[in-house]
Amino acid sequence: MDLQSHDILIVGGGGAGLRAAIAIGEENPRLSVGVISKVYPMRSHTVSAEGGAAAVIKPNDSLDDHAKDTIAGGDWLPDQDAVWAFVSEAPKEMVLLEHWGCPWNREPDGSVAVRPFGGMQNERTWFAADKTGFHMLHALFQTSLKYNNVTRYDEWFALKLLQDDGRVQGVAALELRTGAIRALGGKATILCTGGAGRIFPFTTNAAIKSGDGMALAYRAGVPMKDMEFVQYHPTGLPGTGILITEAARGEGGILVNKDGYRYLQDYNLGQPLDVHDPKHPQKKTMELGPRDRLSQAFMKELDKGKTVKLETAAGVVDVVHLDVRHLGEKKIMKKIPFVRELAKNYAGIDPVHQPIPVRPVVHYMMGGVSTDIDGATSVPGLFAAGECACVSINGANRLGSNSLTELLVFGARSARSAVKFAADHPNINAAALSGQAADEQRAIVQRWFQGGGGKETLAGIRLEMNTTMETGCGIYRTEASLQTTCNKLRELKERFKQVSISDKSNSFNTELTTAIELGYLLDAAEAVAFSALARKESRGSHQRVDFPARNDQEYLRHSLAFRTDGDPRIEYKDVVITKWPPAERVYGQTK
Amino acid sequence: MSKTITLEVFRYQPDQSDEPRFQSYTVPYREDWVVLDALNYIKDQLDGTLSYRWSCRMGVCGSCGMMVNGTPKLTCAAFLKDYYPKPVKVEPLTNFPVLRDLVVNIDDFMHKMKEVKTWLIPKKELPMAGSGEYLQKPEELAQYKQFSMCINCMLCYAACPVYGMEPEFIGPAAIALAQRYNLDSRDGAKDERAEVIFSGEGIWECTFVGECSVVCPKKVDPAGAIQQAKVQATKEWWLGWIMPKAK
Amino acid sequence: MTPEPKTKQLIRPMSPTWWLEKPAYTNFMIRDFTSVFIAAYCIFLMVVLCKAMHSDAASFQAFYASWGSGFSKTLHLIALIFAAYHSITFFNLTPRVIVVFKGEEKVPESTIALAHYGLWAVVSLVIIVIGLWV
Repeated sequence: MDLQSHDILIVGGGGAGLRAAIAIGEENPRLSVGVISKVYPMRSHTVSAEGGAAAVIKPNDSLDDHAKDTIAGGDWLPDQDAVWAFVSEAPKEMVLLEHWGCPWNREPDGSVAVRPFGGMQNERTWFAADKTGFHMLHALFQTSLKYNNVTRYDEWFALKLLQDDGRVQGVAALELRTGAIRALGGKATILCTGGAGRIFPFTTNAAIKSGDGMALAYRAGVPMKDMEFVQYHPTGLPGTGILITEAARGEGGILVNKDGYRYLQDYNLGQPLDVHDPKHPQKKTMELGPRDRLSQAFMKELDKGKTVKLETAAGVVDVVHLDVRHLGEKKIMKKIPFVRELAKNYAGIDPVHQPIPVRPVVHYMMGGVSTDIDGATSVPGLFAAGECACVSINGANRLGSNSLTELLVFGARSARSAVKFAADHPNINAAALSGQAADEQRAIVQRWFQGGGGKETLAGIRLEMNTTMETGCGIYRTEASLQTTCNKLRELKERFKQVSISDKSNSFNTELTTAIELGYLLDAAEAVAFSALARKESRGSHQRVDFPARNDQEYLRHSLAFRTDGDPRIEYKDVVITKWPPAERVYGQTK
Repeated sequence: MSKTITLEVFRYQPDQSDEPRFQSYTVPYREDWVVLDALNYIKDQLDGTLSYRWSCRMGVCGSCGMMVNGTPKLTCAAFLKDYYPKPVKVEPLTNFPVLRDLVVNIDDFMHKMKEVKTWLIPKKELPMAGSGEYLQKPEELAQYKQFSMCINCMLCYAACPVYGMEPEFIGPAAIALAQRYNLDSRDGAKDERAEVIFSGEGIWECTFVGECSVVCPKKVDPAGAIQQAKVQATKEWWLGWIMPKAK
Repeated sequence: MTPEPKTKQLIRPMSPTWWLEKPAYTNFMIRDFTSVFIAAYCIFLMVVLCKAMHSDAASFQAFYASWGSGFSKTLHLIALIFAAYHSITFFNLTPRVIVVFKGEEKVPESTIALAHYGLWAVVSLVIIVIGLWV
């Protein structure tokens, strides 16, 4: 098997991957970069991000405030050295994006405009209306086109990390168009494959979010860090799970229950101001509380029977109302036009005249491939950045608008460290890599093309995985519910071996990729559920009904899930604390 | 018996046959379902061998463009209720080579993006704010914002008979993207792009059929972009003729 | 699964009747062909007028009389209808070409189209008045 080689391989062509590719182009245009992406880069899920990206730029804000908000928002689980690197490099990264053409909203004087987001004490969210991710991704992609040292492998599906001599030296990938499995060599490899929201049934995540990079690293022996922390975004459209951005609340939208009551005031998030009060919306208060607390408040309202019963074609769904009518058509069209477009198309309501039905929806994985502050994993030659990685800056709950910035800062950082690593490790063992890729090809043919007769179906296993994750590993968890989910996942992994596919052809075989993705999803789900079972405390998005308090004594630590032949092995690692000692998270108090 | 709807789906499986065919599937009819939901139902429950692209299912990733009853559509935004009870015909986007079933080859567009330089090439002297960003007033942003909304879904190319007949035509989305940068107050490379977009394969191929703008799901109006570029090109030609040094 | 499969793809050529497959395409073809007619008419008119100006008084009278024939009337009526049709399609499309910003807001397309129609009406009126005068 031929080996196509590059200095650096990047798996994933979304925000983090493209930022990394550009960083290498800027660093040293003589280095060759291969970007492997299972979709055309501009289809990557970064495109769906709406509200904005956080970076300190206005005089009333400070790096210290950004760090503090991020750490408190993450319930003191973020590593503070990483957070500091993040907040200090964020402004520079955002300005670069501006120089690459991103159409940021502007102040009348021409400087970049910012808006407030949940859990922030000052406005620091840069935004391009409410299609920030879309504009960032397209700016990055279009900019990446000018670097001739970047070779793209569009619609190539990563199958396996190729290792030799104790380090990752490449990737085996399936070229969708031809069905060929090919070996790609790289002195360093960066995983930028995004999250794994599709382990859950109701998610904002795109179909492609199947935890590919997480599973690849996990299988290569890298631990998954803090996987139990899964963010529910409080405002998703019922039915589809399509995201209604936090910017709707940042611009002044309110959440009300079936009585029209702003229920958040009952959950330790401060007191509401009238929507026409010039001080509304107040930062870090009410609707601008952090996502974990807002999603939890919804569940409490549901228990009290205060949610709205919405009749849909799929049955009755519980929702609350996100009301933006008081903003008026003009402001809605200028600041959150996509919210209107989505609500009109997918909920059949016009937010200018009607409140939007919403409910919490799985949105983001705080956990991921464990990396250090430079994006390096525990396996030499392997780096990770973006949602698939856990550095960690997000801890137990990510603040809205930190993720877009994260993929820039850590996309660039991991690229720089990969460049260094590649310089120190100039040789790759082509013969070994080709051999491994050939083995992988044989294994795939044997498993999916020659096997068969298994009674299980992809859709069946996926549905059961989705259901058990939601019922046992959702917003509120217990020992019993988690144990049930872990058992179920163990069973599903076994039954997955009996899945067979009907498509045996080479060209664009999406049934094959769906099957491999389901394998990735099961690995990610396992890491989530077992890590959640092991963490006997409540922190941020991980709420244990049987352990309702935070327990810094035992759990001010990152969980690390290692893959074994049986259940994952869970270990822990201390959080890095520099200058912000753990304290209580306080919201709803005016500064 | 609950309601059902029939989908007539274009099949092309190069491994089995060189000839395309149509295959009929009956799926449950649900009022809130889009064509993509029906395809996913087919894939999960009826026939795993059907191939198509999809991802965000919220009209922004641009993957799921197909011909629905002869019109280019994002299938995640084409509701079954708009076709029920009649059958729905689903085909790959026209004017593109088909790789498999509903999957088309868009390499040509990807090359054209690079040809027209869809990236910001900044002017030499640009005013900057204190924090380092180039200044751009809201009214300057408004000049190009519409053309920056293109999601590269290729519906416009499928609607363009000129592209169908002359594949060398740079085409609606790529020209609109070139205009997006040309009109950006920070950009200074209009002349570089002019070589390509004012060429024989560029704007002058366009006969203003206008269907590209009709099918555009993001109201980018590529037809408008092309005509505006024609006016600009004409103006520059005359200026160059009258005042050779005026450029 | 073979080691090095080739990409096969299906090219679907456009059918010669593509322009009948969609009303929008048919309308476009009508627009295109009628514009050919208008162009031909303009050339014809110029040639005829040039010839008439360089001819003697008698043949000019004969030419002038032929203007009133049924054929000529039909020809001019068709030309008028086509010209009006093209003016309308042209003015309806102008706002897409002439984009005027007032600050951040676009001047509405209807305003720009209406301005053109207004101008058209004024110019037509002036021509009619001059025609009646002479």
